[in-house]
Amino acid sequence: MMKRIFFFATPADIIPILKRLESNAPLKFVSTENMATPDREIYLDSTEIPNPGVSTHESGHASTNYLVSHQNTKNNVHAFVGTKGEKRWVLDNSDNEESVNLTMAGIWKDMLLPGTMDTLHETPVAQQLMKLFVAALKAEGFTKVDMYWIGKEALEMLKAGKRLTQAEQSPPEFDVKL
Amino acid sequence: MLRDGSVFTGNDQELARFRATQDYNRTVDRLKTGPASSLFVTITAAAGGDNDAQERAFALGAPLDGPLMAGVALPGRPTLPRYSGPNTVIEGPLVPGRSALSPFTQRYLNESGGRWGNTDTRTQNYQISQEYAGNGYRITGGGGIRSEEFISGVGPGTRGGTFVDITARSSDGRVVRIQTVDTLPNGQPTPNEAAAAARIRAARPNDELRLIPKVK
Repeated sequence: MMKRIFFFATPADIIPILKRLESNAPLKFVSTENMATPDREIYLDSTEIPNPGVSTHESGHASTNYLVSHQNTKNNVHAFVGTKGEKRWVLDNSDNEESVNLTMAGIWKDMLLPGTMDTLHETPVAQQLMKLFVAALKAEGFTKVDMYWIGKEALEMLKAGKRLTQAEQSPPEFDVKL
Repeated sequence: MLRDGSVFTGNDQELARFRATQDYNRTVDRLKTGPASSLFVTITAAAGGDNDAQERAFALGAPLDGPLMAGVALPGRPTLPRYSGPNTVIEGPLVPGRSALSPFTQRYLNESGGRWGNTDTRTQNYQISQEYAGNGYRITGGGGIRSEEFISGVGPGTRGGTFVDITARSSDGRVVRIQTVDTLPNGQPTPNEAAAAARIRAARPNDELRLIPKVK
């Protein structure tokens, strides 16, 4: 079972990956934010995703995340009452067995933060999405350095002395080294 | 971009605006050539299911999140009821009889062993993640909700790294990590737990790390 894929990708690196992923089957990318409204951003085409490959947080892990599934897969949204009595809606991988989570992260200031694709599930659909993602990384010339897949432009950044690291706050010893 | 929920709750002006967009046409085109989803079957059955209702149900709901279709008003048809049940039920008025917890979560809580720990630890981690979610945090890792965050170490691979039990991000961007830990008789974390905590602090010195004794 494939559980996690770690990668470093600039916008130029990640956009073709998303296109390749979608070329296999129509996908939807749905925001996983914890919301106080049922409104939720849904993208039926990766070209509509705002700023792929640009991190929204100083930690790659905490950057914007999407639940990725086939378009005809029904997403189960969990509704509950928050501690202040307000109704809240979350979209979790645990409730959606034919889905994966995608955090692209990417450019943050003058460094690059890692993205991940991960899933809790062994279902054929979830595992196929993971495998297709790896296949896309390979097809687009990503290089495996230790546990990370590194895009072409990301690799150029690394060779140019830029930081490829987990979070801006992380000390240098956690940076990727060639 | 499609947004589900309020825009589709029976406001004809909004619906008309939406129907004029490229998103609407593209959605309908895709749905007409794609497989009917269980949502489609359910919603059209509930709504009565003539051609117009089917088209609108298709256009509004099938590729989106089924449960959020509650409250949709179809002309001449009963409005689908919005769910207002207990707070741990996955909202699903179109899926009658759905249990409070998803099948995965039930398995997660009932099984034992591996990195996720025994049933008591799993239950504790799940409850903690739900408390944070109730306070508006997005659970970004662990807690039986998602794969755990992995904080890499010296390598290679996962060597020297740490899986975090629960990682949560507040709406203003603060990140909190929670480790449920085994403790010594004096209440301090065991050496292994303390070492894992030290690794997390070293890698993320600015974030909050909470150590909570495991329930015994």
